[in-house]
Amino acid sequence: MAYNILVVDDSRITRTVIAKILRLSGVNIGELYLAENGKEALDVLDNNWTDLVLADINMPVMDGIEMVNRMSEDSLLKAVPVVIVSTEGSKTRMEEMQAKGVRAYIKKPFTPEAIKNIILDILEDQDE
Amino acid sequence: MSSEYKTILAEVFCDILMKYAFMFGDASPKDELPTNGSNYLRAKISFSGYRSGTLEISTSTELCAELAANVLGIEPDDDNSMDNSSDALEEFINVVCGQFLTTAFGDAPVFDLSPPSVLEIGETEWKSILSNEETIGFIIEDAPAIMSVYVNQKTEADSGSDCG
Repeated sequence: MAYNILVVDDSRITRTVIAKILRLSGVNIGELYLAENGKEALDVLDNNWTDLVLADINMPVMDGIEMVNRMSEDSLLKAVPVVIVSTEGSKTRMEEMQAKGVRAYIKKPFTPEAIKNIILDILEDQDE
Repeated sequence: MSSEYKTILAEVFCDILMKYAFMFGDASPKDELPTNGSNYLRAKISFSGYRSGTLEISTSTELCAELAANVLGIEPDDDNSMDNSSDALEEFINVVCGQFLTTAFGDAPVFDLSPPSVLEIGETEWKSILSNEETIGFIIEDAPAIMSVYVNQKTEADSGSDCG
């Protein structure tokens, strides 16, 4: 089974690195969508079936918190697992976001293994 | 900038540099910084919440290209390195800021970070930043970098309202 994954980060270099990690991870990637902010991400999600979202918090136009809030209010999008990949270190904020359905949190700077392991865990859970 | 914040910033800067870009840096007296560049980038990020303030880093464009190359796993003279140099510095300061706040204030307080911004600066502005007593210097693989952090004092009105 191939998975469609959306990477949301305002940093082009981070989108590139995460995309590279995903392609080398062994996960069968179908479509790999890239978005620069939460608004672009919601547009992608509205028009494309997506199995997993990897998103930053601190982005212009629409940040990751607002994006997760919008997704949690949508009957279809709230089922899409979101992994936050951010420089944020606040446990308080992470708990708030997990309450809204965020599945995992990866702190920057991340290792390729951290991304790969969490993605595999979530996608394997979905398959069961 | 308090000496406590300076110490934390120096440690965080070197740690993130190694983890993010596999590069090594050391705090250095500013009068010993190399002067081998003429084009520089200045990155800035603001934070608010439990405390507010700004964090800045200035360094040579060549070092930023090397930073981008290391992160992307390409050669520094690859066109993509120069194209991504500004973006690499933005992301670097974003990560340094997040880690600085966690190290300085713990993981309970909530902060909001602004999207980072980067400007090209010339020799005159570089010298002005260099002479600012609030800034600290680093040598990163023979290239200079200057950092500063400003943390506003917490007011009584802020107490107890922004930690959770």
